[in-house]
Amino acid sequence: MSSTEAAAFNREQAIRIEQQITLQYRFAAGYYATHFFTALREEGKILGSRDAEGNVMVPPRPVNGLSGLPMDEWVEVGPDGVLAGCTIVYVPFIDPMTGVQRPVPYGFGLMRFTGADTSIYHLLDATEPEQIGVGKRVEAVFKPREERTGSLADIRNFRLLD
Amino acid sequence: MSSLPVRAAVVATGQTDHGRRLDASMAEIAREAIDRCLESCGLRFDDIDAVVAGNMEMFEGIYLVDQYFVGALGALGKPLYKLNTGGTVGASAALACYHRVASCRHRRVLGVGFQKQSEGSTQSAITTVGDPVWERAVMAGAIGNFASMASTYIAESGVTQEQAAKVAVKARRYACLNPHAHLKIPDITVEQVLDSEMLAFPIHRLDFCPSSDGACAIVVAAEDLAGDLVEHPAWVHAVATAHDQQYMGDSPKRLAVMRSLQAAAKKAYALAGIEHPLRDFDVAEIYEPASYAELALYENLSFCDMGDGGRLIDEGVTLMDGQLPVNPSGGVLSTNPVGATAMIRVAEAAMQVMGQAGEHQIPDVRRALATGYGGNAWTDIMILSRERPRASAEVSTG
Amino acid sequence: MPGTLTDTWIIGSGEAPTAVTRDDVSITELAWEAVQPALAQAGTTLQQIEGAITASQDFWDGRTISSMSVNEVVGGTLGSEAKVASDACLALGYALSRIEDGDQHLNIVLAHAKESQGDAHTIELAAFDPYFERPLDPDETVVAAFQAQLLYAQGVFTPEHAARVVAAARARSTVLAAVTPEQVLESALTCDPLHELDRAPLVDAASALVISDGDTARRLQRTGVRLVAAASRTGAYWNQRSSTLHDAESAHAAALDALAVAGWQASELDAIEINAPYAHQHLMVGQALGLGDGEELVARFEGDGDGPTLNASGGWLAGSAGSVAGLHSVVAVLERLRASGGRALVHATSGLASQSHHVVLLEVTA
Repeated sequence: MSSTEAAAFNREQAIRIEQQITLQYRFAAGYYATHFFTALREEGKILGSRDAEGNVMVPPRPVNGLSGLPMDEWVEVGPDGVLAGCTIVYVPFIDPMTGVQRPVPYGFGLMRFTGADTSIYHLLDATEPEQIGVGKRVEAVFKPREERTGSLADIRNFRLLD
Repeated sequence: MSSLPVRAAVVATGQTDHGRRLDASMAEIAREAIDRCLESCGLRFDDIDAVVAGNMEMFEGIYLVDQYFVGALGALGKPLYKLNTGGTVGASAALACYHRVASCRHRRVLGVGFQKQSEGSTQSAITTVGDPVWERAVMAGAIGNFASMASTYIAESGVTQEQAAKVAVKARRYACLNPHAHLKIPDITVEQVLDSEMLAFPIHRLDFCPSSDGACAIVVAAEDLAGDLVEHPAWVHAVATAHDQQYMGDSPKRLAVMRSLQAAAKKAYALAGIEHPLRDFDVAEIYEPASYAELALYENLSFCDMGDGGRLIDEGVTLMDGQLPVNPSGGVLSTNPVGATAMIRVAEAAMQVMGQAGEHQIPDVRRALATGYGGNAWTDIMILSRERPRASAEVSTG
Repeated sequence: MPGTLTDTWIIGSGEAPTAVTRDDVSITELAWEAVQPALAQAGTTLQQIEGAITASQDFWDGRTISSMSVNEVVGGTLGSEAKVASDACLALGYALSRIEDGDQHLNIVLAHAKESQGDAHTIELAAFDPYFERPLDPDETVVAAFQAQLLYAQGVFTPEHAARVVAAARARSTVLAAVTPEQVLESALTCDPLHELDRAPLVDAASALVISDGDTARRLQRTGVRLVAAASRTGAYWNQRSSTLHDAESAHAAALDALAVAGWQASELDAIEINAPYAHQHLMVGQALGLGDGEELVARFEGDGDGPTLNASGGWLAGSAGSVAGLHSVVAVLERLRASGGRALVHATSGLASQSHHVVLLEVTA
């Protein structure tokens, strides 16, 4: 179609077919995640995987791609840490686990547990930019044992310590 | 063996009029770009030996998308390579075109990147970039990710919201010189950017890229054919790809220190003999999903020292009349159909070398840089030049 | 260049244990299970790997950019990984070109799929034309059934032949139980004339190769397997060839292309592996590759008859997954020819009703 035809195309008459596809998956967490989330659920502990060079990674994994070394040791990290990146979100997103929109504003960012070399994304208990900042100290807020199921949501969010 | 690699050049490009294209199907936008590309070099489908296609299937929800669109892609009865690497896919596809020619497997390869984001749920597709066990449940889309990355970059470099806004202004003004660009805002000002809706601190709506429908096509040809297809082929001098670790929080300083971009740039610069990028490149088309990202890219591409990106935009170094024009096309900030975006960077860089960039042509372009970004800080780089590369025997391997 | 010897070598191979469900591992861990032995066999380490070409599908993984899950275990960290959404034979072809042109020297080729995690019907539904076909809720079996009908109507092959191909494959399987042709024909009709056992069961699988340039292979003293050529052809989308679905001309064209590049005659092949998800597709492809008609071809799948051994590994029908099957055959062929040496052709198909065909040629020196 030439750009003249495109310009003349009557968008009012454009046909758009609505379709929804629902894709269901059962993701196997695997050995490393199962170990991590079991410790989180049962003991409220955060574990990282460590390689022979002493690099500690959260999420834990079989291989540290940077060093090329297997990560076959476990080490406890956190539950406190620092913000490696942070923001306050104003645009409502749908929580993929509930299908419900998250009320805005809310804090979101990368938390680096004390003892770990990497960070993970999670929710922050904050609503104003002034409350947050890279380097600020945070701590994981765990759900009570009876509410924990062995998933990232066992940590409700992170609260600022400063 | 010593006659490989065959030297290869981009000899033609084509793009759709990017935007919200309710008037065209995916097949039609792919053909729009492909037809324009083939027309510009006088080739027909029959002349093409292989096709490389890039599209992120989850966006429009079409599984085996390359197979469905085989006719529109001109790939019937041919080898069809479907690449899928996220935001970098357009560049990954361009690199694959290069490798197919450089290895002497094919002589004329068509690369196509296409995406119709208006047809799917962009946020759902982006959410599935996150690891299902570790990341998806908390993700706040691309915006949350970039805002968090920007905070790390700001903490390291001290760039201000105003400096970022200047990048956003540059992009949308230059887009007005680009007939294909999606978002054109001729009178945009820094104030307008700072007044636009705050999506996630500190990213304003106008700091962020749009969601577009569009396609881009290129032809890469072998050295003995290139000169017959276009007067000034855009010779490929270097290609490089580098990724990071697996999860989004693995790279300690994310946007501030882009490990993968630095690794890829180091390899590509060595291959192409680039020692002072600001001086050695005449134009750069880099993949900046957000205004802050462009400033961080300046630093990580060694256009300036680390932490100094803000100064470049303040001093106008990267304006069209500056020492190194960056994104005269309007960049990703103006146009972002994910499957095509990184190929558009390659195409725009090639257009500059070939002298085909029309109103946004930079004068006397000899060397151009194109970069792709996507996934978890994934990087592709292609360096193009008006000069044919030296023959392989003379080039030291990286 | 056509007729010029390549200097690209397969120096290591490995596979994760395949099973109908690998609930015990994540995709990352599954991939690492394949990569580790490949690295060990190659005599190298992950730190040495410069990059990879991987094969997997976003829809099956439930993940945009499905190779994100494996990137770190294939040398993608600060290395050069790219993913193709197709069978691994296509990935292998791309990997070959990156080594031949001097860009890469030591790479991994990895394919993975966890078919147990997703809903096959809905995933396959998403491959169909959104306007005219999806409202009818089809999946791959429907078009495979049209294809089988057309094939059987030619009068050369029968459903019994297909059942024997399944039985022959299962007899060689280390993952799936043996079945008789009768059991195949008695299994539930999924879509006439296809029975449940006509289709390769869905499994979780990962296969990996370490490939290198000549200098690296010679340094590591691993010059046993040369990667000689790779070729692909894609035919029309199924509804544009609805009356010729049974024609595997693309397989023939891909094979001819690869053989021409290699400078080989088909008669010089010692082993051939054909990979497709449905039994009748093996008959189509075997015929298109000139391996025989009717009873003659089926006998070859069963291990009788002259000429190159056909599907000695059992192929896809013996337990492999989409994206992985071609690579699984490559790994099996390397093992089998290790002692005797020989030339092998590995084929795999991808797409609805075998729309695309991919071929890889290998030379094993004892």
